[in-house]
Amino acid sequence: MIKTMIKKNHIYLLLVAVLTACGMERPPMMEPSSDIPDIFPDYVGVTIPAQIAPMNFNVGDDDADCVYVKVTGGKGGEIETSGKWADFDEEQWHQLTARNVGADLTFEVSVKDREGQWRRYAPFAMHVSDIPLEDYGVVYRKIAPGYQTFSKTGIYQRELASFEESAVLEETAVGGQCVNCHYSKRGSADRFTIHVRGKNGGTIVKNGADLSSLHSKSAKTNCNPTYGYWHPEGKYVAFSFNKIVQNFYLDNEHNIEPWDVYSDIAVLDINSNQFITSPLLETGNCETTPAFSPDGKTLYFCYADSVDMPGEYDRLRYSLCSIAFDAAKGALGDSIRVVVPADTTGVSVSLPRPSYDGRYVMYNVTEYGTSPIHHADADLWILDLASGTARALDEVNSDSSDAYHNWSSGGQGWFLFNSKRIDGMYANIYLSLMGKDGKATKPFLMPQKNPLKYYTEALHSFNAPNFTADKIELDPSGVGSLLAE
Amino acid sequence: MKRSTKSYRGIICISGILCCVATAVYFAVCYPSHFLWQEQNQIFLNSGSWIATYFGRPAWLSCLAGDWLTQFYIYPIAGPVIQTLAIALCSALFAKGIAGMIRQKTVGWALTGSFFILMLCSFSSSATLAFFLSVAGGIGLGLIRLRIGMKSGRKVDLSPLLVPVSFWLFGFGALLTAFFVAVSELKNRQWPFALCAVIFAAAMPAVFRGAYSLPYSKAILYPGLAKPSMPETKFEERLEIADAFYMRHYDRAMQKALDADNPDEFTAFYYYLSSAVKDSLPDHLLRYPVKSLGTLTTIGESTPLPVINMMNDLYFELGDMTYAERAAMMRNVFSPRNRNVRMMRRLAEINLVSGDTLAARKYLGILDRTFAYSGWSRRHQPGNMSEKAEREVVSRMARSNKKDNIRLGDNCRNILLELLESNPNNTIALDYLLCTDLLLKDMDTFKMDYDTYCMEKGKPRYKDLYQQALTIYLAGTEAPDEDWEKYIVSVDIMEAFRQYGEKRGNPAFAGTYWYYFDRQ
Repeated sequence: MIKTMIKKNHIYLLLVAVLTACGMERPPMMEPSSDIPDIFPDYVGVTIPAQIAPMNFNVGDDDADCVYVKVTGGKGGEIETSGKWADFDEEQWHQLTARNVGADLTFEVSVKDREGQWRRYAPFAMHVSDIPLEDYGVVYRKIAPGYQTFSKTGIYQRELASFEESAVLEETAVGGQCVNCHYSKRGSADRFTIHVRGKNGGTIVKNGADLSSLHSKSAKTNCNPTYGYWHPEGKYVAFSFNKIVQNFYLDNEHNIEPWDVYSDIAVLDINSNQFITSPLLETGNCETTPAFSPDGKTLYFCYADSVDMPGEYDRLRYSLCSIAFDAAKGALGDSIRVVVPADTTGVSVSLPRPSYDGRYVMYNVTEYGTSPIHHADADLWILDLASGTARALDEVNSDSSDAYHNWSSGGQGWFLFNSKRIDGMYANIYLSLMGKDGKATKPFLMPQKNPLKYYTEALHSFNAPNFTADKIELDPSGVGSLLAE
Repeated sequence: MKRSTKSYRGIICISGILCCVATAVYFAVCYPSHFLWQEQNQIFLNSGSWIATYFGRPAWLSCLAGDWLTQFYIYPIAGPVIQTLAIALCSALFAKGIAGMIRQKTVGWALTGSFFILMLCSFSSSATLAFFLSVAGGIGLGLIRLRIGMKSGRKVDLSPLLVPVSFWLFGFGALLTAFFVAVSELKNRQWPFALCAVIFAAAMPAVFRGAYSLPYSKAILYPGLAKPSMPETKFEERLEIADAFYMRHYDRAMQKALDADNPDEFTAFYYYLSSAVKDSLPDHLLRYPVKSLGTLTTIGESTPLPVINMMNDLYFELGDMTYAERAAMMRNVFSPRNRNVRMMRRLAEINLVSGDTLAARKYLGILDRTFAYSGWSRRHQPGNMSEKAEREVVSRMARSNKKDNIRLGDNCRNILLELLESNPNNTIALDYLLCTDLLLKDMDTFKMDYDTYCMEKGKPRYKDLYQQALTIYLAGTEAPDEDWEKYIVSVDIMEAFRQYGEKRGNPAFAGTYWYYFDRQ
């Protein structure tokens, strides 16, 4: 009898010990300090979509013994977590954000140091926007910045509601050839192009159920398609064909300057596999980074007069231009309109991206050149098409390169962009919301399970990110076979 | 009979142990740099998220265990011991596996043969420990018999199911698993099970190639085969020299270069770079049989890895952090998983010298998660650097390029001129500039450079090599006496030059620039 009791007590004690070890560690009651915690990523005061994955964060340099966070919703609900970093349960998080659409989430953070002393910080808030971000996720190329070469590259997609990442196409599936950027029709998982460089390279076109490979080069420049943009009707894709070279800087601040020896633009008719050209877009000067307006009637692009490169590298400035496009006839217009002139603004424009509601064109501005990702001064600018005024998006810009922006396919104002603001070397994805007042919200870094660990250990840039409305299903071996044919 | 079996096993055991010891000693004495190369060519982070990345790849167990063990190759004895044990394990399992298939007396030969073949496989610089662990794991699983008893008392053989497990854990090891399972099943006249094992081995890579993003030919052989090869003595010699240089043992690097069996551009490169760092490039330029400074080499997408390493070392020592970083990035890209620990350290150093502390912290943060380099990382943290580390960074900062312009090409001469414009006291750059001129026998350019960066700066560099070269220029241009007095300060040089003039081309003057200029 006694033996049985002892055995039972042992089991209870063991259970208590296990439960204590696994349980939530909470701080004692104490007054909060006036300081807001130093968290990574900086999520203080950001606006998030309700659909976003848990906004996990680390506190300080991750040397805390325990971090306790309680999140309270303005419309009710509460979740808490404790551990080495703030790591929220996905299900609880989504329930809380869904309940608090249009309200604030208040984060109360307490940290226990290695001596066992707790410190409670002043609370901070995140706002859950009532504007949904309906896309499934983001798609990007992960590439190590290797200059002139590549090794392990691939196109990947990441679900925005979770931390799940999956490969769309890796270079190993196509015989080690370089997998270039992915361009979709307004975030479609069914209509997109991916260019593969190399011996059996070509442009993979996914058009609904059809998967085909184009081995097309511009007749004039003999270059492969580089930057692409789908027409909203899905019948055309505008491409620029760029002959790109790289030069290196002498000083330690700058690094590399890619530039186009020449570049032209042509529009591919997906059905006939024919290019629609115009002498206005094959001038012998530089035409690049095309983008259709949401109504499909205008093709934006960047244009620069050729200068004596690379000697006059700091005189190479691109203007934002546009040309009419008639989708019914499949014809380009006969005149070019300069939207943002380089000569009067004294800056160089690149990567125009019209918003899908037709209200804005977001683009990049640098002092010179055509590769904003390599310029620390690269900023996002926004052109209000109704008023014709343009301004720097200071709400989101940083001291490092901010570039490669794209709008969410829902057209309700969410956008993403690349920024090197963490370390000046590697481009990461940030999201922000363009409000109805024309102001963008404070951008937030794409959440990760353990952000500090993830972003510290990562040695790749998220190249040319874009939203994808649904999960992309692509058979990599099918692509490999297609290219090998 | 039993006694003879026992003694036979005893002989095999003792021979095996002796063989292992001899192999480990051979590796430790004759092949140490190959093991260091393996360690330096990868990085292993002691973090859950890093380890988790292995689970999405085929052969995750052999790759994970292989990379984890390889990180200890930084210690000289670890590589030889681990490699020998891995070979011994593979051989022992193989011998056990085929023991039932061949006569007992030939098992010893099979053991010896497999040991020898695997040893030959380990000589290849591209052979990773994961290969050997895949072999061992594959055979090991193939030797397990998985049977479950049913209520009826019948036993169901599930051994073929070990093949998919083997593919998951050991990649191509599944082929070995399938072989041993199939043989065992055939012995028991269970040919359908044998067929299942073979089909599983062939089908698994086909089924999972999409998930792993690998073509079938690579998926079935993942993580890659090591082919038997003879010892790569030349490569070992090169690695030894490069390692000595990297570890700042410049005298040792120079001596090893001098001792090289077949001096070539690689050995010459490190001989000269070591002497330049020791401020004595002009003293050694003519002492090495091969003349290659690396200043005429450029890098691109098809440049071999050793040349990228060389360019990284050269530009880092010269002070051109942009090109050093470019080479380091390229070298990283060509490493497994796009990173290796040596270049990670180099990138941290480059960014510390460049003053880009954010980027430096990024690389130091990664190194902080390694077993062997976390201490180094802590000693180099910006704002908390050790005295020694700080001294080195400051000294390299003084040498680095400070001009703000775009570079028009890979021409090293331009780079050297820019470095000297930034800091005329950069004697490494100065010596490389002047010595390149002299190797090209371009006396006009040499004189112009010497005037620009020595005489006009009020810092004439009185090295015998330069003095000898100047006598050639002055004599060739019939310079007036005041020029001779201005440039040639050594009476001995004047006298030797006079003597050489009388015996022009005489081998007694081999080692002088006059002789080089005339005869080489």
